[in-house]
Amino acid sequence: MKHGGKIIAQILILTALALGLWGCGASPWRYDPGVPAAPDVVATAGNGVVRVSWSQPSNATAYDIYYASSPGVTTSSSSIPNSCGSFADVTGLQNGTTYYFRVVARNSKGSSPLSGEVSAAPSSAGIFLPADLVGTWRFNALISGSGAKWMRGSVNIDASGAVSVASFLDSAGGTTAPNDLFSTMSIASDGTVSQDGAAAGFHGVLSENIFRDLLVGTGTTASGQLMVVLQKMVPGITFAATDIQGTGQSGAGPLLVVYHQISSGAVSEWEWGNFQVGRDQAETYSSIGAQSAKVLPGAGSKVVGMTITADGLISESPKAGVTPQPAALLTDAVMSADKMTIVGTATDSRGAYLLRIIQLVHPPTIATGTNYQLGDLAGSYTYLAASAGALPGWAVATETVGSAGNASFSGYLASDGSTTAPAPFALGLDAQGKLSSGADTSYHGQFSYFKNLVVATGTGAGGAGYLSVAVKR
Amino acid sequence: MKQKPLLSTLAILNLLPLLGSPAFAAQPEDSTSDRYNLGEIVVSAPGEGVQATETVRMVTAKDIETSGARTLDEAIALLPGVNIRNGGEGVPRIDIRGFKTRHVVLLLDGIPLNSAFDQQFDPTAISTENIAEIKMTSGASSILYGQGGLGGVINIITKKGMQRTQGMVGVETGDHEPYQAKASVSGASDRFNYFFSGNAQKVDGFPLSDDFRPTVEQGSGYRKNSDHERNSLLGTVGFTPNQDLALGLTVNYAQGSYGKPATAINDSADLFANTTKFQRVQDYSTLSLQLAGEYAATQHLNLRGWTWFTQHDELQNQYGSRDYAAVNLQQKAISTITGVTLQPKYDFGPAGSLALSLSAENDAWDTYTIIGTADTEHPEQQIYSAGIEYEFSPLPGLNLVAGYGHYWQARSEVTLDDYSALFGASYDLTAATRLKASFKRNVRFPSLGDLYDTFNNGNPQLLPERSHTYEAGVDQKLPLETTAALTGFYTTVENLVQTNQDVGRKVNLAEVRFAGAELSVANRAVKNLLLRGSYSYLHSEDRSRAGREEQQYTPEHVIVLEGKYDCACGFTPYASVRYVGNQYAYTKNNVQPVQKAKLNDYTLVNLKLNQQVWGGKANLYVGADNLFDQNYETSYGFPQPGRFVYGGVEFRL
Repeated sequence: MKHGGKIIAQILILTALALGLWGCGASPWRYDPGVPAAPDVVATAGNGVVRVSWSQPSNATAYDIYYASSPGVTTSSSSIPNSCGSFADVTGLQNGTTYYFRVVARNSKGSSPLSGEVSAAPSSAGIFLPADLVGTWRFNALISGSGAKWMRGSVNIDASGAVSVASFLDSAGGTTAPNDLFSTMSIASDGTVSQDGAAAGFHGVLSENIFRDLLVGTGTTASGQLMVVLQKMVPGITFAATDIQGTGQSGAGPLLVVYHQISSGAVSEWEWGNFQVGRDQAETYSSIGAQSAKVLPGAGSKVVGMTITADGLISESPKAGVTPQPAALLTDAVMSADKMTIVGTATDSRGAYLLRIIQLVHPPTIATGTNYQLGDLAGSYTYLAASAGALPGWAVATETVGSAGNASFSGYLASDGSTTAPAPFALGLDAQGKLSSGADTSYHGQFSYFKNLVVATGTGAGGAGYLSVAVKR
Repeated sequence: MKQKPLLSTLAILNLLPLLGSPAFAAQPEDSTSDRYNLGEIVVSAPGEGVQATETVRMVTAKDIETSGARTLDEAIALLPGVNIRNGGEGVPRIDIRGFKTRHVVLLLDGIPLNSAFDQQFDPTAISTENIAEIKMTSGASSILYGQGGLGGVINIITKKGMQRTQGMVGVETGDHEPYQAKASVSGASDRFNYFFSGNAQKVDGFPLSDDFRPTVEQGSGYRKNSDHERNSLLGTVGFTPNQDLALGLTVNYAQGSYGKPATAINDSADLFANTTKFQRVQDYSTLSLQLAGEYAATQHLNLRGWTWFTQHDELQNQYGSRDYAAVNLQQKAISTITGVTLQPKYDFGPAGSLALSLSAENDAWDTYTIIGTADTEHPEQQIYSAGIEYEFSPLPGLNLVAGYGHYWQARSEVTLDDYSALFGASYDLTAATRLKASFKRNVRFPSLGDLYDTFNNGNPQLLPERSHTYEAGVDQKLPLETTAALTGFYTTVENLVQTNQDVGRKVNLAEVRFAGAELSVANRAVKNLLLRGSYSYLHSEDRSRAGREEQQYTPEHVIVLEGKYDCACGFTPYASVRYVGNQYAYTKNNVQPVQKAKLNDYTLVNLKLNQQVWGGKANLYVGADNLFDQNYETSYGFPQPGRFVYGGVEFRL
């Protein structure tokens, strides 16, 4: 029997061996996303740079951009590999030379075929042409004063600058645009935009951004004081849910967003807010400020869901059962072609009309780090502001900011005819692009990610709240 | 790539019996300690009273020593109805009959160890050298355990010192040079008894299977960020001033740290893969204190009482990248539970016995953000319980039990209340056949995290979860010293707390149903040879979300085989085989439509060979977990340990 134990032990071992080998060999199952399809590509020229934008197949995780100075781009051409998101800037290009571009979408399973080939020729900036106005533009506008309302819709501008209203809706449900809103537009070489006829009181400026798709204007109309933001629909630029989704810990984290708005009518005041958008496109507010007391929407919970259409219209819907809800939700707000700015109008729960400008602190796939530097503020801006309150008005000026953030105005003109500019002030900038003014605690602003736009709110003379947009020249 | 020569491993294991001496009998039972009975919540003779109507399974100290289990999860992994999952939380999760860890009540000598925050627990924080017995009640459990425990109750009873001072010292090491050192000392006099134990463990990382395919996030060899370190002390002191009164003090302290391995899949195109997170518990400590007493007031009236305190604190780090260099969020979380229970029991003799349970508990959870921007939170609640349970045997062999418990959850903004009810019966049809059946309505209040954790969609409006469990079974003695037990069960659960993706917060959304059967067989026909096997079938229905059928990560089939032989030479080989089949995973919450995928079935074989030497004063052992280096997962994207070879020695003093 003394060997019986060894025998039984060996039987046990062999039995276990047989049973164990039965289950060997297989590796855990893995999901097969399939190889992505080739994306659609658009190339937009700038000064020594071309922005290559592409559609995003749902199963793509990275993109490689190939380019050359002659047609027939291949994967052996110069490349910018491993891009995320929906665009990349190819820099260091020679102005006046036509470059050709193709994009490959990749994932863990492989690479798509090369996209179709597109081309663009970068050129030096600073010169605006009438052709920059040609196209379809969506607009959002706010009237302050006795005829307070919001307006939104779309217009077509032809080569002669004639503006035809394609669609129109105002806060009262009206569908006919006032004749002093748009007439014929003309643009100077420095980007200032004016209108004639009934809209001759218009003061506008076209942004020098790569798409030249943002036009901001103020003026006096029969209804009241106007601020309007027009955004061009750039051919080939499409939008997807990933443009408004956070990436979670696998990427840059939640999408950080800040907004500034001005309201008129029942309540006239400025307001700003910060929220983040998660992978599920749900908004969670982190802070809010206004001239009147505000309660944080959602009290820290996801409170609003955000959706986007393929042509860049964004709408918000409330999360059931989550309180308090924001005072206003946007419908058909417009996302810019660079996908960093959203502009919309709405009527809030108090009956006030508002114009809201939302800015993404960073693109969805890029975490904030050292992108925002005080020295990047330096330059010259066309400054436009709309104020609400007992004496609504507007103002335009040239704003100059030094490398230390010291700001001053020149060429100041207000709706009441005043040319006395506000006093110079000092700006501060934090790591997430938030602007502050030490002397004015009501001031709250945001520098755009591409460093060409400043949106701010604050309390001006006489306690009137204002919304300002400064477009870098 | 590291080498794991299977055949040479088996050759080494095969040589061990030669070390033994024929002078020794089969490996003796652990004679150094008895059970700390004051740690029992439900006191009745084995197989009698309320326990006769329930599914109660025991793991003894001998079972633990034979199998080489180092921690609680390893000790109960082979029990029918138990599924151990390892996902992104860094610690194993124990599921019972499909219910997740938060639905399992864990007691250490009656001290609740579930976190006040999320009612989960870390089974690896409980080392096994101080365990006399683990009693696991699946499904319908005694009312005296209180609210919660929809899936079951695990009560760990520690050892108690016996006459004559005794002790044990042991060390163990293995692949990649982990170490475990443990020691215990116990003794007793006429009135005092004591048991003290300590354990120190450190693992730098567990080995992956050689078949694992490296990814961007995880190379071959050893699992990244899978280290853990734990040092623990446990002591129980009992005092029996007279034959009617027994007092006991239990102190348990554990401290350590561990990494939470990230998913091995970092592919945003993978619709099933979790978001990659880089996290560690940089430091944790747990302190549990309990003062217990039992007083036989009269011949019929017995009074038992406990007061306890448990505090668990953790320093949690979240990193921005896979090099774990920069911490972008650091939080300290403290869970504190204090409570008192009084349990009088009156024995009416032939008319049965009646037990009351009155309990009051205070749960608090504090979170402080040290690095990063997150809210600090300090919620608190009180839970009051009043239960009554009546056991009665109207006929020989017939046991009936009925119980009712009412519970209150008092919070600053509202007080909720709900109840549980139990009916059970067992009948000895013959001397060899016992039939049993039970029904229990049970409740679980939402945890502090469910209610107040705003970062994770907390909702103060949540209501209690409720379950209805129906069970029936038969225990049968068969020829050739064979015993078999067959149990069938059906459970419906409603108001399960789950995050509703549409509204972005937790709601009482889910309804889940479980139906299954558990068959276990044990045979001792051959002297000194124990053969055990079980088959568990579990059908789950996830009715909470459209597109879901079975509950995620809930195996449908589990087969376990165990064998142990005690040789006269002091050699004891032990082998276990566990097969897991038919479990499913679903796409991430924001993916529509929902897709389902089947995880690979897998079979794990563990082997351990023990050899007594030096007159029984020492025990040498070698073993191999996952002997055939199976490359398997219990959660999608989280590879599990491959073959792990270890060896050690224990000295009995």
